[in-house]
Amino acid sequence: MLKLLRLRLGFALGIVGPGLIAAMADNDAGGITTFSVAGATFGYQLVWVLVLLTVSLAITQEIGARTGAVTGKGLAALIRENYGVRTTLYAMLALLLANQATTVSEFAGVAASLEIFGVPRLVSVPIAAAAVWLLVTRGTYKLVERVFLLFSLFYLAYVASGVLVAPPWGEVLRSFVLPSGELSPDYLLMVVAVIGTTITPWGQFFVQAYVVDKGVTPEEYPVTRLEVLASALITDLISLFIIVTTAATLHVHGIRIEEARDAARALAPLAGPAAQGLFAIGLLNASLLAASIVPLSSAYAVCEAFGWEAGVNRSFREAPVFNGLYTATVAVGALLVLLPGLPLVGVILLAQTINGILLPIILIFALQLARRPEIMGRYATGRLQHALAWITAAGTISASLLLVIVTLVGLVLGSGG
Amino acid sequence: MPFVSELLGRPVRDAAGRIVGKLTDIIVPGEVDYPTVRAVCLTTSDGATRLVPWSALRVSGDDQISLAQPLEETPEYQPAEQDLFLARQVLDRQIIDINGTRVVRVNDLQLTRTNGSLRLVSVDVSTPGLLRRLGLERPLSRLGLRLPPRVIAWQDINAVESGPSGVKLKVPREDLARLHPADIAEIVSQLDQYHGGEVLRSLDAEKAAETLGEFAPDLQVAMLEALDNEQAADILEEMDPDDAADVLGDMRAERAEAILAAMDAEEARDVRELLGYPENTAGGIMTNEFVTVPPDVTVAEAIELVRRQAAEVGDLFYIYVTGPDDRLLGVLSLKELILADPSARVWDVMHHDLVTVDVRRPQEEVARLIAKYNLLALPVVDEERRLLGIVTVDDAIDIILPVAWKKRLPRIFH
Repeated sequence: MLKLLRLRLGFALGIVGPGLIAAMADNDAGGITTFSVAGATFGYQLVWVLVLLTVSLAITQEIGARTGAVTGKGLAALIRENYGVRTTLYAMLALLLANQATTVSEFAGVAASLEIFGVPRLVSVPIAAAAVWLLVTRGTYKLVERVFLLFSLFYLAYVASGVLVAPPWGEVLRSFVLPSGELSPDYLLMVVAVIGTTITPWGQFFVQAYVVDKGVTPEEYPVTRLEVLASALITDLISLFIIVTTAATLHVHGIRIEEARDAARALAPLAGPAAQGLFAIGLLNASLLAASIVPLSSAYAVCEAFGWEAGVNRSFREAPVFNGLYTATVAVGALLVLLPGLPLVGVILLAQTINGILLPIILIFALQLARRPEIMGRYATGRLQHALAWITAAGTISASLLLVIVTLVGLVLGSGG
Repeated sequence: MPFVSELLGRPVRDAAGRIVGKLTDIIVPGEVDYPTVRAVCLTTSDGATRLVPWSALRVSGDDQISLAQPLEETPEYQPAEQDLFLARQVLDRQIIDINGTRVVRVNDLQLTRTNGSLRLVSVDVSTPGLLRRLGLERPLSRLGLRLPPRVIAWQDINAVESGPSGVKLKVPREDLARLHPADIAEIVSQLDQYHGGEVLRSLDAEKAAETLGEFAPDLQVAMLEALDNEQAADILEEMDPDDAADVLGDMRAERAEAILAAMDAEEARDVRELLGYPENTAGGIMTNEFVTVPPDVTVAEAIELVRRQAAEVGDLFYIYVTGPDDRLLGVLSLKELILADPSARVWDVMHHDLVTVDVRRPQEEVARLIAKYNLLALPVVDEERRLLGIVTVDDAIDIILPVAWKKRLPRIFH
């Protein structure tokens, strides 16, 4: 009996390990920045959004993982097979745009983190772009991925800091369930950004592709489902602590985040004068990890959808579209960050907002496909989960619409943001 | 020549010219090389779908499709088991191209008119086909942008992926099996694990074993995960015991045990013996299938003994001469054995000086010895000089060169 339990645990851990990559990569430059700004600017007023989002994230990731396990195909392939070429084109354009925005935000994170050490972005960004490109195409990426994961322990710093700063836990817990906030463009922008950084278009493709590559069968799926749910929980727990920490250290003193070093102050309760350095290393690590994964995700998806050769160990001649797309995404991402005078924090937030706006397109495909019995057999999504998933999509769409409306109204009435 | 994508969505009229519905699918027999269209799917305005036999349709000179009789009087087509629904099951799906041994995606299907019927001729897997589906082919070609078209004859298409039931083989399995294992492995490595397992299951055990041997170890394990214990055991029995031991060694212990239990007892014993040695040593890479003869027989008798043992062994390079306690005394190459005087004694014609390696030595040393002495196989002995196994030159090459070219899992997440 004990041996069986130990075998089961070992089996589960074997799959869980690499799955944490997905959770950690989800907390990228965009995540750290968005939640820092959210906490600093609005205190705990976005916690209720985060709580709802955690449920949504679990639901949508589970849908992606289950679809991958049952069909053995990626999301892009399924869209192509069931909606035809034209629709696939639109979906891929949306994905490419969202991923390009995300890549820009990752390199912005690299620039911001190294600027804390005084390295100018004109130096840090090209080197980082070249390093990421080389690491991935030379295939040593896998080893480095493990190093990235190790450095991801950095997030525990937020947990420690959050505990040390002794926030008003009563208020924090209340903010879990009491919605608050304003109908201002600033607040709504934050809401859409928070949505876009938690549930990402690339994340939806990633979880499904990951499950397919792991070769998870429907019988083995329950273990994977646990892993997916756990990852969602861990990711958002970290996000929560980022909000709590910045709210308790910055918001209470009315400090706004203009640049990365402002956000670093949230770690002062834990690290004191080393807070800047600690934050910089963590942000750099998060940005590099995501910068390796996200451009790859879109290149793979596009080639899968249109039947072009793909693979990191294929040369430019063997897989021209794949390599070209990947290289272009990295290059454009790096170049855009180098535009003179670019406000890094602002750019990162904008990228998350773009993700939030484009998210419903991808989500709706994923939801609808998972519901079809001819694709999923008896593993098709149940009615309750499907309804909840649709509520998520609807919530995202309304937030984006509200943002657009309120912004336009504000512009028309001549009142600024 | 009409393309299927151009036909889909076309209106179908009745004799009076009123639109009855739209053409939403085309049905062809799956087992024929260049099949004619047997029926179409007609979707009426209220969403109902009917299968209309091709014989009930008329195509006018200007490509208008109409029903010969009113819809209610038109007989419904009963699909046969091998029938393929082109839009639902073939278009936009992945297929296996035997000649290119690649897995490609169907962008369009080409039909041709012969004697009043439509015949499926080829599959368009090229980028222009994609552009045509998007309506961009003509505008782009007017701009001077011409991309090479690529079509694959329908006859060369061997398998179509269809639904959660897996790969549907269009033609008898013998066709796929006629390919070289390295080519089959290339195809399988481009499918996902689920469908790759399907293809493996369709091969006979020997072919499957050869194919499996072409993969990198992690993919071998993944492929076998898709099979049940009996199927896996059948395949592993056909593999050389050292290869089988490598695969089983990489699996979860309980699964490996289950497969070993399902294997033939003697084969299982050989494999278990090899599993007992540490990886990366001579014992870990050797095979325990080899041919031996005693020293005191004649060459003619030895050839007879070799003939009896040869069927069970993988490759035959050398014949080892062993004493009654399995101690290694000498060696003969197959060529030397055949050219020797049939009445001579083996002891007199064999090589007495042998290069051997101890079973515990590291695999790099094994490779170096094989390279240094230009051997095809190196005998592995214990400290009593008893012959335990041999390491063949192909395994030595694997040690020297990285396994980079072997078939790997196709994505980044492994």
